[in-house]
Amino acid sequence: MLSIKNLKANINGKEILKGINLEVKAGEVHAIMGPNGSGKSTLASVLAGREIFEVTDGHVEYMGEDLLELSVEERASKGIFLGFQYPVEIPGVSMVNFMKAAVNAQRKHRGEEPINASEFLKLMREKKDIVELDSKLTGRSVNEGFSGGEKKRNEIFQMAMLEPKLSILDETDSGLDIDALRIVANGVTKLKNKDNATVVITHYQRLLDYIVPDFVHVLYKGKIIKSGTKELALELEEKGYDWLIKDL
Amino acid sequence: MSTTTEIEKKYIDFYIDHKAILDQQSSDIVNKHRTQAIENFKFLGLPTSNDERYKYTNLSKVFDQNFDMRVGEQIVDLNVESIFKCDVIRLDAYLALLAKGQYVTKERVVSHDESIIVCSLKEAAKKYSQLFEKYYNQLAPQREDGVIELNTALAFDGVFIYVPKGKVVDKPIQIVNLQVDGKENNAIQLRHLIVLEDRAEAKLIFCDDSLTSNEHLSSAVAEVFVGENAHLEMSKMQNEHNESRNISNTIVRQSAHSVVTSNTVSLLGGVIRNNLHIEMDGEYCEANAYGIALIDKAQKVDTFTYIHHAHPNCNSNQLYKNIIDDEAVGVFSGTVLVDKNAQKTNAFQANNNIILTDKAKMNTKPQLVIYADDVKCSHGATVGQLDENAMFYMRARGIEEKDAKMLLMYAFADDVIRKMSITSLRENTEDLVRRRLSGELSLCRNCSSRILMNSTL
Repeated sequence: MLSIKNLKANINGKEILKGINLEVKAGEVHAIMGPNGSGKSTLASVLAGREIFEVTDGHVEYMGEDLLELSVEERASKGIFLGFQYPVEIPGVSMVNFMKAAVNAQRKHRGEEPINASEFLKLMREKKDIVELDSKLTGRSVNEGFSGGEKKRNEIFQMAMLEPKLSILDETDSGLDIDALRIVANGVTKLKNKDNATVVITHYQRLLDYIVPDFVHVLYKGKIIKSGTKELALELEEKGYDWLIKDL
Repeated sequence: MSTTTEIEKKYIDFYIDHKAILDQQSSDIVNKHRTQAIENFKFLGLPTSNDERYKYTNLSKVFDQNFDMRVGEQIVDLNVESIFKCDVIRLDAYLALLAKGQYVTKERVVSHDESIIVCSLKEAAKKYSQLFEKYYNQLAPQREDGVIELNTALAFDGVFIYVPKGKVVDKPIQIVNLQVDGKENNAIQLRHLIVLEDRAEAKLIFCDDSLTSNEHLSSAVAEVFVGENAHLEMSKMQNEHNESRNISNTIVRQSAHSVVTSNTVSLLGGVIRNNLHIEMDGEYCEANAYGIALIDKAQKVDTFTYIHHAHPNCNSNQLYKNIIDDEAVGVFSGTVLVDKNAQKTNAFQANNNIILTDKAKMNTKPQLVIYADDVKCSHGATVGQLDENAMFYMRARGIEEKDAKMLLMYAFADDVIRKMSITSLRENTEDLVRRRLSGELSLCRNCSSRILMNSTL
């Protein structure tokens, strides 16, 4: 589904990603771990198409297409979903209008008619339950006045609404208490199937107690320095990153 | 002002040449103010950017066009129905129509109560002379503004609205000022007088529209008296075209416990200057002033507000927003004056602006002048671009860039639009704003089809 080869990216002339290689297949869950400043969030942003990052080298193929040639919105419409580390508040734009615009933009991309009102409301109701999102929140402006936990749940709610093929969840666990973490993780697990894939970016092992990865990668100074199975995450929890860095 | 400029001289000469016609067709009450007004005009002159109030818009230049001024000319029978049919969906309102600077509606406007008067200024000055004399030109001279003095000197017609004690007008009254002359560039002066007695209630909608694409200038002065416990809502829809120059002065005096709300929506117009003066002449007054302007190309919208808290326990709220595209220029200067005895005043003023290009410009000058010591006042102004993070967030969900922009701008504007209490007008405004933001000519459909047909009368 996703094949990243020797990806390098800059921001303001500073190289952050220094040659990333990663293969993700349908049905898989990958975890990307690593200390602060290693380039985890940059990788997520580059895959989503954020223009402030400049790709200087490498190749990314997604579903047989050159991903780097696509605009942000094309990527989203083709099934890439970025769960934001810091979801953005948009005062004045209601959750309903926002979600409707997103759903319809993606339907339009697929050549489908806009969703009708009752179908849309039914969809909202259904998906809200997956992350136990309060009905009050969907009546408000996007993320405005949401607590940290509510914002993260709202990300998973949007993921449920849009049914992406490849979800990249950037530090979805940061700032969550244990209950919120469980709800978010359960949501992600429920949405998982054999046709989609998930890349979870995280600092801590604890999220991986709930979302069990097939592969774990350690990102350090813009490169993946170690890949393994879920046992690697446990090892990292126990020993930290130092032993890996020393090995370099 | 020591010297009279060429432009000012042109207007003074026009006055001298037309005084006889004006006097002949107007009542003594209107006429007796002319002489003093023209003297005041000679002294004050047309405001230039040296006048702090007009720092960013040199009105002298706005008046300096080869305008064909019209006064006292007989209007051939205009059939109201045939030239104007407002298509604001489901807007159930009384209609008073002004064309070529004159009041042209013939039939009774407010039907449900005979004591409520809506008629031409000309007629009111004669028919209700006692009432008229009590209010006419009582607020205007205090502004010490040459534009207002010129208006008083050349005053000919406009709308007169009188709502007696305790009366509530059951529907909004829509006053449409139409530019209909297809041949010359004309200039008109409009003079309105609005009186709400104690406990009276009314909602007024002022629409400036144009059926011609010629350059024209319209200068309107409205004196507004709001009695104790009275409620007045005035909405101004400015939707002419980009060769028009529209100067308006709304001067309000409100009495104790009254509520005055002003909504201004500025969409089309070459130069728009709106002056709003509110004097709180009693305790527990509430004044709300809201405005949204969406401008592009070489448009200019200059908003000037002055709210005077002269008594304790009054509240005022101001929210003005501009979305400025291309090379357009926006101006906001708002003053809240709180007198020494006006304790327990609550006064809030905000001006927020979005600039869409490098060449678009916004000048903003929020001011609080406070002499009392027990008040809650705040003011603030922001000038910025669309939020990049919000744009990316929406695009990352698949929303196209232009739609994401629309959603953000619409949200910004809707903050002001939702203050409008007349549902159908609010919905129509939302529709106009949406169409304007998506780049369409945002005239109401009937007016725009008429322009396209290039109809002339």
